[in-house]
Amino acid sequence: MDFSSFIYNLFSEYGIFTFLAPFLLVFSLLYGSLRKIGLFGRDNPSKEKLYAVISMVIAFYYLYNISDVIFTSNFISFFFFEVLVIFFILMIIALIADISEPYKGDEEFQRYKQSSYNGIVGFMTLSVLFAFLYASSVDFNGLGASAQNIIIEIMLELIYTGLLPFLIIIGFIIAAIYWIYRKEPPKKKRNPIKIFPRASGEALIDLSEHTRR
Amino acid sequence: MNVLSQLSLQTAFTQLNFNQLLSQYGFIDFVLPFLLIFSLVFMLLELSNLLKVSSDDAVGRKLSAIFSFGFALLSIYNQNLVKWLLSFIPNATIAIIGFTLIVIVLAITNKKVPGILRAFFAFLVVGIILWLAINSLSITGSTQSSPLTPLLSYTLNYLMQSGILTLLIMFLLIFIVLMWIAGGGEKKTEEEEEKIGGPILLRSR
Repeated sequence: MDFSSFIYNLFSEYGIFTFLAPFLLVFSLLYGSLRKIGLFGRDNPSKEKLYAVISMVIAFYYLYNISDVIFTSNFISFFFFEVLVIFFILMIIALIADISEPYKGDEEFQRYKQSSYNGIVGFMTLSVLFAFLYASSVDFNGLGASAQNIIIEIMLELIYTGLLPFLIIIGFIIAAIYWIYRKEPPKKKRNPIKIFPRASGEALIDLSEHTRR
Repeated sequence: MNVLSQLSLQTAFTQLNFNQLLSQYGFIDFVLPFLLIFSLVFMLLELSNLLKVSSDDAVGRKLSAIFSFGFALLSIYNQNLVKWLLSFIPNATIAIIGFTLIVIVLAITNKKVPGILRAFFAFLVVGIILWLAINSLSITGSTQSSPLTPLLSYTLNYLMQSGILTLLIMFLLIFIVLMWIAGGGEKKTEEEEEKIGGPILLRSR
């Protein structure tokens, strides 16, 4: 057995991974959040002690279910990997941003750029959902099973009650009504297929520049 | 020639031993991932001021450090992450070096990249890094297949067999055709308007 496996086994055996690390994670998060939101008033002299006790108790309750701890481990490890990927993307894009000229475009281009920017930020927040799905697919005995059961139950309910096609058709009708009654587009509207990729690329570069500020 | 081959052998031997030594003492599997995760998470918490009451809150800073410590330890517990990092980071670093070389070459020419190429580069970077990340994830298959996949295929089968999918596709096609017709009309009138609204001198004739 090499040294790294020895350390890993030792840590597992002495509960560093399954007790200390999750306790510190949950305790610090709860304690910090309680301090920040100031739930028991700002002038309460014993508030810090109360926050600490509440956080500690909740953290111990959380530790009681070991499968939740394993789920959290999978959840946060995948999330970290996603953060690392985003970090690499932003790092390289920031390199390119320095040697290139920003394309200003017209008002329509700026509008597309803003919507692309919002889309990218929204997609980045989806990384939490992806991490949750990964953790659910790996650990069925933990929270994953119940979480997936909920999704399956909802889907089956939608199918058996006939709600799914109904919802899709209603969606189409709403889209059609929106399309008919929407505000008149500007007269000289350009082909969005031509502008959108360029606007999305600009939005990506903008994102890296915003992060640097 | 003989000396050269001996030298290359020696170099390979030394490198192998050094890598083995690093792995043996848990440097690659334990220390490096821990440091990376800890520093990144701590930096993000400090940036967002998530656990701080004010910007100079010492307790908040300590809490951020404790949270990052716990986060890093708990992440390492999933050994798949170590494998992903080992597969992803070297390749992503090559991508960084490649793009840095492009930047250097462009810096020599002393010309700025135009807007269209800038967008193209951004997409290229996202594509390459995501491709590398997915490749890294595929090296560790999940232990059990997700029940979501059969559910999705069941839903698709249901939609296909009940004819709803055909109906939806038809609706979609009709919708697209309607949009195309309506959109085309607008464009034509615009073009006509543009033609009409040409130089005043020509219109007056």
